[in-house]
Amino acid sequence: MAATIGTLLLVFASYDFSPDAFSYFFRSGAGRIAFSLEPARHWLLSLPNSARHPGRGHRPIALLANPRSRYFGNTVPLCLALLFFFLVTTGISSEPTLWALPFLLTFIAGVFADFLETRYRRVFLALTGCLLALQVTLSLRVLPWN
Amino acid sequence: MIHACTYPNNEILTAFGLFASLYTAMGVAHAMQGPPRKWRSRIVLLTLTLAFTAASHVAAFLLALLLSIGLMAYLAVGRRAYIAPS
Repeated sequence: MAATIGTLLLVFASYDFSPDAFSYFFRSGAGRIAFSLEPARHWLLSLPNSARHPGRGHRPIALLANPRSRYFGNTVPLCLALLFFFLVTTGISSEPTLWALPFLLTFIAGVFADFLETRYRRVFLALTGCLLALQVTLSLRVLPWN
Repeated sequence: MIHACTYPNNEILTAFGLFASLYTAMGVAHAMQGPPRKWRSRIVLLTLTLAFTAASHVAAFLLALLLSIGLMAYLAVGRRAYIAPS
């Protein structure tokens, strides 16, 4: 409750303490959301993300095979990433798939950290190293260099 | 993500704000199992992360708020009355 009130006060301050401008925060309709398969489909089919697909695909299976997490929970970031992958902001144009990425990376890192403690450590390191190198190469290729 | 980080835009602020808000909310819920003197700094941090999220995207703020309340209600066993006093 205190955090919510403090947040609204800070947002009010960011609008220069103008009640009219601050009311636009509620009137704009920018908070409207919906759910769709389209953002996830678009993201999954893009070339720069293709190197992550094998890694992402086998990690839910790895999570089921090794549900105990040592450092932090892996289920919550997976659920949140899935939620944001199917989210569409109908009020204004936005990229919820980008919001999902930190949670997806947390999930992948968590499962990776857990698997590093099993006897398959070396195989897993080599496999993930190859996928990372492929991901870096594909990501650098699509960056605008000029 | 690298592309989004290379030019000024609110999407990357929203992404990090959302992530920070939800994990800070979990941190606050864990801290609520301890003495109240340790809550204040974490609640201030949660306020700041929620404010950054709200300033960058309204929908993300609403989602962060709802998900934070849900995660805190799940984690703060025995202290749920402090999350939203009636």
